Amino acid sequence: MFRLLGNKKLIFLLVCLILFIALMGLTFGERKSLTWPEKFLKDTVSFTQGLFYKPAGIIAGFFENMGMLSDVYEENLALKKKLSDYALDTIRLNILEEQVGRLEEALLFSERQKQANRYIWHFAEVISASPDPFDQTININLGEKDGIRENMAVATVDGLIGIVRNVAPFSSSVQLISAIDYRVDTTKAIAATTKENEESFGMIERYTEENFLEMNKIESTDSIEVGDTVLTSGYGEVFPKGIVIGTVVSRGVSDSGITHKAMIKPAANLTGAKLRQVFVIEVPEP
Amino acid sequence: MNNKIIWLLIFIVFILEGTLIHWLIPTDWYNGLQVAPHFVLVLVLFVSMNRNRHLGLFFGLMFGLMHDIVYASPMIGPHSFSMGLAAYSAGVIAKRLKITMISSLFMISFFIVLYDVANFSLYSMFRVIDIPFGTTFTDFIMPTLLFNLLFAVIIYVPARRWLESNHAQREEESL
Repeated sequence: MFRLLGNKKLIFLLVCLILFIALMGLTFGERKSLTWPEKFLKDTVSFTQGLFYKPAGIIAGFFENMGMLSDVYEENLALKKKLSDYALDTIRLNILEEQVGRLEEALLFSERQKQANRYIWHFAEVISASPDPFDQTININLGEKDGIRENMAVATVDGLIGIVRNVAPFSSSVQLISAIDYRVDTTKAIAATTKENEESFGMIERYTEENFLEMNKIESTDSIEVGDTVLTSGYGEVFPKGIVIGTVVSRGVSDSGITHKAMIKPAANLTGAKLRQVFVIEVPEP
Repeated sequence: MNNKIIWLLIFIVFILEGTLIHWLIPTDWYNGLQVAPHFVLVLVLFVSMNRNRHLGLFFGLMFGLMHDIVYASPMIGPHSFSMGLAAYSAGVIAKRLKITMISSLFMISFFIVLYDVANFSLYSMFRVIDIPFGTTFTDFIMPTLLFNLLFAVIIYVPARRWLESNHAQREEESL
């Protein structure tokens, strides 16, 4: 039997292991900002990846569209109906907005209060997705120079998908909400409420194996029902208020027996997500 | 083929891994299972086995580090460490074995699993994930192994030919 490693090599390997653990320990957790070599590498690689991701997505999308050609008629009808609803909603929205503005004036709202809910939606294109399933992130083509900061919420037109983890000057990484788990240290729970009743409250703390989000800490007297639309409540001060998360599919007593828990089907598709365009939501600071 | 071209080729594969390959994996596969492309790892293992272990170690560390930075791992190092470890061990073992197709593929499968298990344990240690090993092994590590082994089989012949163009160099070095 041959010896695989000599003494010297074994010691060298151990030293390497120690150095790596030290490096990981030092860079773990929230850092203020990336160092410049990281930023440089990230931006250059991201730029190159952007050249590949988009055309690939377009071609894949083309074949998908070919497959759905037969559904176009029904889709068109549904969209027309949606459009007329939308026109009605716009009229209502205009009236409400004007009314809210008048009331805010009357109640002497400060400029900060008035601006609190006027989010800026930055349109971003996805340039790559991490091939590592233990840690699902996507990279987008907006960065520090475009006003993106850490911990901003990221959504698609359907609903919330993640949170900005770190930013380089021209690109940034987004951690998907499918990573949420209260047992680990790197994710943040989402404070949530429902569209039907703003008094409802719960914390989204876990993404289950069945691809549902688990909402915990709901009071047993809470009025959350199956079919309700779940929104971010803004109480956590990380995610801004009012972004759609998903719909409730079941509600029951939680494991502790004191509070209730609800399972939520995410509005945006998160499993094996083939995302192309996302929005980064900026809450304006006065 | 000189080292610069190998470097460039693996870099291109690195870029495709996060972009094109992502679109090629059908969404249906994500039904309970997860598949991740580790094509960079497969190529680095080929380099390490057919060239020499030091080059493999260097490539492993560099591309792992690049993965950690570009995809914003929670900390810098896990991929770098596991890829470097896998590449170096592959090189050490390959030096003592006769490299045939079967033995190469066996080793590649072993080190793909090692890579995933190393990443899993590092992430578990730092509490980035908290999932049981059993289900991870059946739902992620095994499908990933099969998927990447398929890639390894496809590129086996061309990779061997390209890398062995200066096979003599390796012989000299190992003496």
